[in-house]
Amino acid sequence: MQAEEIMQLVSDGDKNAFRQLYVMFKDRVYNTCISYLQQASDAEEITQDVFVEVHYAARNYKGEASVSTWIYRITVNKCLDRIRYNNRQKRFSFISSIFSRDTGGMIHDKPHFEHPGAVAENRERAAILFSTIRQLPENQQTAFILKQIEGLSQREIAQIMDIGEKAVESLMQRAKTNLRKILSNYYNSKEGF
Amino acid sequence: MKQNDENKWVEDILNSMDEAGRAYPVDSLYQKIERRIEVPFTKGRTIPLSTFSAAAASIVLLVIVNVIALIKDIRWRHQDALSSIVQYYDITNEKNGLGL
Repeated sequence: MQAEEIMQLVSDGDKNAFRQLYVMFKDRVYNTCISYLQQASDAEEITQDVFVEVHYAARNYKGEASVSTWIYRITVNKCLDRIRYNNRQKRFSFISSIFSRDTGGMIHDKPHFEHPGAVAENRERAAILFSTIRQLPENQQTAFILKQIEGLSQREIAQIMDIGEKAVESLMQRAKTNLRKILSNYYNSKEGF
Repeated sequence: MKQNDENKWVEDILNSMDEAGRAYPVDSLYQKIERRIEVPFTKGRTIPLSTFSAAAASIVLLVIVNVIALIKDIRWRHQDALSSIVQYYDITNEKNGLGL
């Protein structure tokens, strides 16, 4: 059965159809979430949020975009919202750390992240890549994650981000240029030690 | 040579996820989603003690600053009123030729 047909059943309140939809998209949603949030617990929570929203918003799905595009759009928006929330928390952690009984350190700093899907010999390199992705502006981050990590086509990314294909291409170029700059600086600072 | 090494290293990092697979969620995730759908509004948020303390301290600080400002303002007004009375008497006395 096609995702669009399953979606129709979900909007009619069919529980089995919802489970089918979940099975169909869970890996894509979770993988996108973990690439953005770089923490399994956050990725799990946002994956839950995405499917809860899919369940409740199924009736509003008009079929203007494919189900995949629609679910990716919800995922990207929820991930970006969580990143903004985490950043606000990080700023606030300076004040809250004063009142923290234990370490008093920056409690919201993300630990070193290793993507579970990375090939063993590339784990370290991938960890460096993810720490640099965090430093990109939101739209460049989205284009890079959807293209390089999720392996989506330029057209799919354009539909998800609601921009033209040329704009996606330009975002990708800017993302790569910025990543190269950040990585070069990192390489040279490492050399200095 | 050094530039080549650097470029190679950068490109290796950029392509480090090329052959990567996906990350998969835990099996119990669906049950969690189901529970949230069945009881949609039970998900509460607890405020950590540190956040609560910070907010309380900010409020106390704000009240103290306002009280200090209010006291200073009252004192200033009081002094201003006193000096106007003194000034009034000085002028009146001068007019009446008392020159006190």
